[in-house]
Amino acid sequence: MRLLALTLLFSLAAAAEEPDVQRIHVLEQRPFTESGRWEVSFFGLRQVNPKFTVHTGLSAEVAVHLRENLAAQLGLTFFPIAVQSTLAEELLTKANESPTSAEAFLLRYAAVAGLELMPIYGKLDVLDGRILRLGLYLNAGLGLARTRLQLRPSTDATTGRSFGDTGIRPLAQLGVGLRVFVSERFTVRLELRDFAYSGYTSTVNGCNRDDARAIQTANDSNQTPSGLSPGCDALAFGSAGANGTARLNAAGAYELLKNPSSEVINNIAFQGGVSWLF
Amino acid sequence: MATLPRRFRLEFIIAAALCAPAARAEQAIFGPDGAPTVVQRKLHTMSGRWEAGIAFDVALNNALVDQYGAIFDVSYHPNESLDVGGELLANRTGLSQLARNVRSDLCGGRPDAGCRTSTPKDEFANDNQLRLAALGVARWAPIYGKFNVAGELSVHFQAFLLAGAGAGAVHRESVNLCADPGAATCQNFQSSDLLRPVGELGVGFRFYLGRTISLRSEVRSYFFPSSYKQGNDPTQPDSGTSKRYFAGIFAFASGVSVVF
Repeated sequence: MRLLALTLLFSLAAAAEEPDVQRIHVLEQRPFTESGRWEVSFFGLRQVNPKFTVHTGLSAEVAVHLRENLAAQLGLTFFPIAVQSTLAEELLTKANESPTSAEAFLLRYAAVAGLELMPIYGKLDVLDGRILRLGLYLNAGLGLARTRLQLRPSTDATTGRSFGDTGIRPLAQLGVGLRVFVSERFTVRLELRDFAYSGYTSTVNGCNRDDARAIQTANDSNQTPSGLSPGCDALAFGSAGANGTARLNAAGAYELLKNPSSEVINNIAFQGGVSWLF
Repeated sequence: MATLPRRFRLEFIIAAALCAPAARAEQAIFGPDGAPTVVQRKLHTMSGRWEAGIAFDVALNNALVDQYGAIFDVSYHPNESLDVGGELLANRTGLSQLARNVRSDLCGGRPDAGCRTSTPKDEFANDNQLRLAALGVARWAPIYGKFNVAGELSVHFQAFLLAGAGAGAVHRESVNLCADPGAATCQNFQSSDLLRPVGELGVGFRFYLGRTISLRSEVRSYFFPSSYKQGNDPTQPDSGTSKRYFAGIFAFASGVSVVF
């Protein structure tokens, strides 16, 4: 009888045990590894802190996974849309104000080499279906960027939206992201990436403030600008003459250059894309 | 072979029969390598539970306005991936430093008495201040996952989309249009307080700290009809025409919720 009572108690305890609160530690081998593999990624990206500038672009990246959680990467980014924001144009047209040249700096191309560390692994399931693996990663890199400044607003009937080249400058990049392994080869990536670069410039199209003023003055009087500093490309400002676009663009450049400003620009972009491991 | 005494045989049969259901409940599943495979479940279930939360929110995209505040919400989870409820939003709002800088330069170096000219001006858009709102909200959480932060410390999370609709009190204070007639330096700017229909869309994560407490982080967009004036004579506040548009305020919200 004692055996029966004892067994009954164990039986009830076993049956009443709620499976939800069980904790078991399982050593599970990862089904595949990234170590030693190459990865090609393609992204679409958009600036998420658009105060005076708007950037939308595309990016491609090649990475080699040196270890399970460490990769070296090389990325190229192109922003076909790199313009002043609606607010910046409103400031100009409604209040005759404009951001400083440092705040209005536009990023056109960027090439960055760096490292990526993926210290956190996890799993997720979508609608209680298939279980997918994920990794949270950090990356950092250094590179070069091609930049420009917008000289005239889109509302200008003569020039439309026009730009001046401000050259190539060093750029640093920091990122944090999420990689979801849809299969052994195919992953989906979401990332927040900070492009940091110096916003200081003293020239537009190679011309300094005095050159810009000289180009405007000469074109106002239908003359060819002279006495410009070496490297100044007056033709890059547009068509010559009192009715041309060069005088307006040069005036825009002068406004941006007359008060020197310097700032480290943090262009923070959200990017989503896919990658292929091989 | 030893035999049990007769009085124990019946007890043994009954005990074995009672153990059988329990044994069936813990049915082992074996993988291809012969090792037991673990059937995993969600650690934190939500079905049939209520949730109350509070979050801090700050507007992200409104350069002319500073806006931050709190969101209080209560919702019910009819199943694992859906919850429906309501939320109240209360924000402290005001013009940003940028907007105040624009105001301070409106005279453009002209003397105070002749600060304003009669040249028609357009008002700045996107100067909306969403001060209060009450919304019905639904969250759909199709993704549940976990990751290990350090060693055996695993963090369980949900990723969700949210949508809501309701009404909100929208305050507008013009950055550049004066409420006082005349050409002198402006002392009072045009303003309005209106009740507007408000919609919201968002995406977020819930990180479980336990069965009851979780942290939520969201990015959400509030959108509502608004307007600004075009062709306003700065010396005559009643002049100009109204231009309607759909305003959007993006906000980041982060807070804690209790599930009970």
